[in-house]
Amino acid sequence: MVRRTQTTRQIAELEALYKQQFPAFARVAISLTGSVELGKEAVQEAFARAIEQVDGFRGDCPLEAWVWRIVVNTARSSARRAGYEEADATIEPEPERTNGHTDLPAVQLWVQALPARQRAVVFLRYWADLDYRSIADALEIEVGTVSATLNAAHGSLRRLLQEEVPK
Amino acid sequence: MIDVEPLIREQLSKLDPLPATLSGDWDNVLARVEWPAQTRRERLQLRPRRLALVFVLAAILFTITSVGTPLGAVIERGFNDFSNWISGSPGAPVSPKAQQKFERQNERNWNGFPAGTQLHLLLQTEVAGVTFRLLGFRSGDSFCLRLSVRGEAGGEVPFCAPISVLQQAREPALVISADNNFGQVGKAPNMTMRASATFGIASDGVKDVIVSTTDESVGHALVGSNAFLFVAYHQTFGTSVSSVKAIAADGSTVALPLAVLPVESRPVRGPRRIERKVRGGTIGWLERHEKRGLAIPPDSQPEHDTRHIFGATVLFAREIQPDPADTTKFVLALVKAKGKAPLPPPVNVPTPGRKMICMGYYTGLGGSFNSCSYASDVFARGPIGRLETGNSGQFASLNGFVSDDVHALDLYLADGTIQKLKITDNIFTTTLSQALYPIRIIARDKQGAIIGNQVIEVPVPPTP
Repeated sequence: MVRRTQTTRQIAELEALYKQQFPAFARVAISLTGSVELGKEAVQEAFARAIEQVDGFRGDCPLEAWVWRIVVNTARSSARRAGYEEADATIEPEPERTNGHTDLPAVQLWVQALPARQRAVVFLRYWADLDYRSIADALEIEVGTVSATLNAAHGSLRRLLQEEVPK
Repeated sequence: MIDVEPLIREQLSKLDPLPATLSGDWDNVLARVEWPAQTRRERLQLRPRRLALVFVLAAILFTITSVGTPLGAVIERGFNDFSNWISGSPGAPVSPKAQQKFERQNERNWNGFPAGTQLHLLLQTEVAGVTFRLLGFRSGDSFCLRLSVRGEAGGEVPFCAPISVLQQAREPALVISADNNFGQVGKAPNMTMRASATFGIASDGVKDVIVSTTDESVGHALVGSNAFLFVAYHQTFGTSVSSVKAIAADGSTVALPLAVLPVESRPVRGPRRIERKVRGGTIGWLERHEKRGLAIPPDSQPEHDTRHIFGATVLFAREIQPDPADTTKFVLALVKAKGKAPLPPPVNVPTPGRKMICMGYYTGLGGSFNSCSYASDVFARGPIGRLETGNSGQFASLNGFVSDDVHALDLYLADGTIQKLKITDNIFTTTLSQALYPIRIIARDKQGAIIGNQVIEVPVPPTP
């Protein structure tokens, strides 16, 4: 009975999380799948799986981070099935230029051109506003790896900007 | 060193906003969950046994969207809100096999739904060995339902209508199709129908739908996934639905529009007069062979219709799609009769050599050329050249074309409301509940004067 009550409470928490943060989940899933439809579908599937598996949630990380992990994994699987990640890996950043200066959308293009893991980390950090620990839980990597991945992403952006912005 | 963090935050915040149609759908999440068997049984036991007339075994989909906490709490939005239909497709995706079958059927239709249209399962029930599946999907600005029946008495009831039907609805639920009979048992006069289904869509706040029949029986429909499905079992032949009511969580009740036989005589609304007589109009662009709309694709159904069914020479034909987001398309064709081959009404048997204007009507469910008129006669009586209806369950399409004299079209409905009809390259189209008939269509010129006035008492018999 206690277990069932806990499950009921957790499903209610999942529902609240879904309703409060659907745009963030959808945006990240869309960025990972490259498709609005696939992204939304991934969020729906992920939450359904979360409900099914909530009994097995051990509470060793925040529920939100656990859900993010499921969303990211579902979106990645979906992207793999759709062949998105492979195709995406070949995209090179093509900054727009005006009078020799990099336009701001170049940063957005840079984000899109990041390798899948870096893009996921960037979105989780700056779009979903997760801390390093939660990102690590969501992506099932070490906190140090999160830090290193973000550093690598920052570095590539700095290089892009230094190339484009005359000093 | 450049501090890139603020730049990244700023730029990510400027990414394109999510499409307006993309919103969360918790009901849809719940519909996908595969609940453990024990939980499912427990939830079924919680449901009150209240189905007096029908024997329904609700599928998981229904169970999880209607029973228990916290699932019961998910339907908490307005009583009059079709958000799931308007912003997406309610229900859960069907199996890959069912989806493939849908896509194969769709591919065979010249004017099929866009690739990638996902069929969703809304409700499912089994009555005496007959399985009823209510399916649905959104396609552009249309919403579609399909009742699929498997068992001894199989069949399908398809339905599509513009989403504007929902946006304009004043009731919290709509009866889409009533009294769909499947299979008969025995012989007249003691014949009964093996099953009779009535279905429709329901807004988020609808908790129950009560269906009454002419034999004074009352039953509860399955309600879930923004839809409802009522199945009557072994109903006496001739019995039909007499009223349908939607019940909200707070117990408030709304009677839903229902077109029933015999048709109730109601006054025709709107002005009776003609303020300026207009005769002998034309469709200028068609006469001038002006390239409006799109060319007729080669090897398409309309081309087949024009070449092989008419036996007429097509002088000029164009495809007109009044709403780019809706699959409904028309073909307006200027043709010349070659012989005595039968043509669609009202010409039927043409005089060779005479020019005619033919109109084809195609939806995602199919279609064909359905009318041809002599070009010299079509506007002889007024600027409304063709005015056609076609029933689909409780609704009826209203289509036609007008001459260049017409600047605006107003539709006066039996409930006292007025609907303005959009005119696209002389074509107009809408879908109305048959409960809104009789209707009056008023054509106005640029100055607003009434130049056309026609009444349709009943589009077609108001049964499927």
